[in-house]
Amino acid sequence: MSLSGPQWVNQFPTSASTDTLVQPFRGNVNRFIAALTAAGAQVHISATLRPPQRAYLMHYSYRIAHQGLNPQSVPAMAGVDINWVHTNPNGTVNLAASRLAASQMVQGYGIAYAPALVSRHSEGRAIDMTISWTGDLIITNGSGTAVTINSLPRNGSGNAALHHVGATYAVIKLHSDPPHWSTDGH
Amino acid sequence: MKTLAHPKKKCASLTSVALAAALAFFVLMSSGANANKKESQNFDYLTQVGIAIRTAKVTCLSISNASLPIGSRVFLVYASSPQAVTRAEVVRKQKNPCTQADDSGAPLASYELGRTGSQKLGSAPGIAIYGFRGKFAKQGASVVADLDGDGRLEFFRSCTSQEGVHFTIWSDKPLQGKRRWHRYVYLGYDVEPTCTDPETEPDPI
Repeated sequence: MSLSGPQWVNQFPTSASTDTLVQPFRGNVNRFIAALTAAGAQVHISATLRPPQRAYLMHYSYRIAHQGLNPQSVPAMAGVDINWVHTNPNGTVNLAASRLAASQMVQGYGIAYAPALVSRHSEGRAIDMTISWTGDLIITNGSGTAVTINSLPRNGSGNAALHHVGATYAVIKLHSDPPHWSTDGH
Repeated sequence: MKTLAHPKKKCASLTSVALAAALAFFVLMSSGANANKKESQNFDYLTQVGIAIRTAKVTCLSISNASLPIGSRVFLVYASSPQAVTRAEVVRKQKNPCTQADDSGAPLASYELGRTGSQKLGSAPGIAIYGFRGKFAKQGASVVADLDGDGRLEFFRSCTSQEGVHFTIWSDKPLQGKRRWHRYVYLGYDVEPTCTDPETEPDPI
């Protein structure tokens, strides 16, 4: 097992490819993006799958570093061969070294708020993308009907008409997070 | 309500010998207060409030104002409880945006911020206030200030949504008063949501 520390931060990176999404969401997203692109909209994807292993590492490094969790209490995760417990030469637990290593991970990830352990992103059922266009957007919805969007704002985060179009592809907008779309709006 | 002393502000003890100097000082402060009141009354939330974000290398100010002078001072209000306020200065303009995944369409400018004294800048994002020379005060665990000089106190809040932070400024009372300013910061990882609806609603178009 490899000791916890900043060397873990670059493992299990977040994906920005729709290929990492699960079906049928992957196909739905690809069709929605194809319709947006065909309509002349600009689409930039910032995140799709956040591997569960990454969420695990972020979640528990934060809890050890900032919430007093005993590193010996962290449950193991299949596929993540990490040892959260640093020890002294005599074999006793070195809590300070364990917390320092966790803090270095928190810093490396750039964590400012407690990370969630499970999310639609870690399930491959969410995508973060910025969408923008100029003028009217004439886009084909999931039923094959052309829809003209002439309302404001001309972006994916706030345009209710585009959210309705997304829903016809079963790509649902989460209103509280501007770039976030998922299978169920969570 | 407890008034927060400005950083670096030093108390001077008066002696009878320095009475004339004290009088001049009083006149200077009074005229300064008037100037500050005038400036505050012209306070523009859009161009005078932004977000300071700690990136891998620097603290980056994202604000809808492309003409902040280098060396100008900004206040940083850290809106997580217990709230705190510190000062920073604009070091240089940056080419790249501070944050990703912002499709609000707002023309945001980016600046590197530096500390002005011994106070370290926080690692959490903070609400950055430019061009305000009034006073901040503490009301319980909250930092308050009359930013726009209308006699009503402004309150600062932050909350987490699914994968970002919503920052808001409210007049009179948080969540119940008038929302004066709102900004979303994308975190790039999932967090536990704490926001209420009034904090996440987009600004009217």
